[in-house]
Amino acid sequence: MTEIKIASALAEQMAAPDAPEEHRVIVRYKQDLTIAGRPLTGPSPYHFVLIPAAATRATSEQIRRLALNPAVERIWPDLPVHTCLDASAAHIRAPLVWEAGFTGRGVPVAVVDTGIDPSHPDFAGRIMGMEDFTGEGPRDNHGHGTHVAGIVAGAGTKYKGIAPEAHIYTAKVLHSDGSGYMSEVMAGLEWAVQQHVKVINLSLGGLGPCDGSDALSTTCDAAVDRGVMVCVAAGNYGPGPSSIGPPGCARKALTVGACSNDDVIAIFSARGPTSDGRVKPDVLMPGVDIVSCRAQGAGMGTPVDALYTRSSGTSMATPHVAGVAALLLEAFPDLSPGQIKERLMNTAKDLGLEANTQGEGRADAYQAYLGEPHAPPLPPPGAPGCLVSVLQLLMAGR
Amino acid sequence: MGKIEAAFHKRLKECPDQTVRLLVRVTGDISQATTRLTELGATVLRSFTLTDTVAVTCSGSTAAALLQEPWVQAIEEDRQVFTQSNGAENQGSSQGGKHDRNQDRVCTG
Repeated sequence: MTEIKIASALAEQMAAPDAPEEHRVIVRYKQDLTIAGRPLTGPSPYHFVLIPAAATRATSEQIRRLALNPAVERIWPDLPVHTCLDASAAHIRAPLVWEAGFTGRGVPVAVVDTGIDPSHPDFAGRIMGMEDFTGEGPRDNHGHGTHVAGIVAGAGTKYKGIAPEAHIYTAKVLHSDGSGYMSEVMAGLEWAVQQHVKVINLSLGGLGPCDGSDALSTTCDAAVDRGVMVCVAAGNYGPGPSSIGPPGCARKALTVGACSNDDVIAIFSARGPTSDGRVKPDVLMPGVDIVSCRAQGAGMGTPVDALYTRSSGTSMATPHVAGVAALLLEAFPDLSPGQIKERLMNTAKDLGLEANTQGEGRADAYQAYLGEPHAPPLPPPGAPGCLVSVLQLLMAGR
Repeated sequence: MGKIEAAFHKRLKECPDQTVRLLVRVTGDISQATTRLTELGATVLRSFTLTDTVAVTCSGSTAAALLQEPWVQAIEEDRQVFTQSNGAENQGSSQGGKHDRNQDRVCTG
């Protein structure tokens, strides 16, 4: 009887040799029970109102005793949840733009990075060009570029990128150890411009501070002058001031910092100002614990399964913006890079942080599509993204 | 701003025999500049038309000498860049980013 009430995942957790003394659990009660009548174990339980359940802590022995109580229907482990690409895409409201009919179809986007795994099913039929500037060949033997490309344009069922029908071009400019020289990145940028891409993603950077006059940053600006939207990572050298390095200081590129899916700034996200006093980053995007495509054989991030891996960084935030730019360019093909940048900045959600931490705030795909400034902050919505899946788990009685 | 960052110029003068990677911004015809750079002892790696820049390797003394050329607009070090992902192990903490090995280089010449 008690075994039936205790979820198998929790039972396994309790039986493990390294089991913790206390477990985080969610207890489901009989429907007609009042909150006051709910048998509990730990202090300060959280009572849910949508379902007759409470989150609490309990030892293995307490869990067994709870399971014997007729008022208790089920006990699950309260598992940690992560910001998945499915959640971050929903958080920036990309699915509303898809519903409006725009998925980035045919918009050429270049990922200038560690290459790509062309065998990954989420890119099938959409890799239009691959070039190598490292001498290692265009395949991704690091994993970073594949992960980034997945965020921009992966077409998985669960982990879908922001522009899942965009055309993908990849320039491999970073070696298998994830590093490269500015000149290699510049070569990749020039190649991408020659391919007539509309958006370039640069999830890379060097040490700051910088003023935007370096060769890499000015090459980014030159690409913008050629009509290409260039999205660059702020870098992970935060939280100190002026920690953004090249090409994050490029004047015309859109510089992207990272926040969590709860709109909390990531501590590692580099801060402005630039050394010539300009505000950077321009916007934030989700960049913590993002699950996206995994290159075959690459150990980058924390693998979820054979096809996906989880990673954090402004590298992961930047392709969210590049994907949104592709959506906007499908919807409004005449927008210039400057207009896209302005739209993304003007419609970002103000998180109430300093300008040199958040820029204009966290960018929002749907608001940018509407072209209207974001409404003033509202009370937080219900549990988004992966948190929803926990509720689904509860409801499904697993 | 001059043709070169002061700290980098100092390093070139202190290490005249050390091989450095440079990005040389030029004025005028870039193919002529490429030829001239080779004549001056630099090895040309790539040239860029978007910004009239040439990537080269050369000795510190050659790099310092390039500053005298009127067609050389600016010289900077071809610095390293890195992926900007932390991995889950660094989530929620400042990782300080990855490090440019050039910054650690000591004069060996």
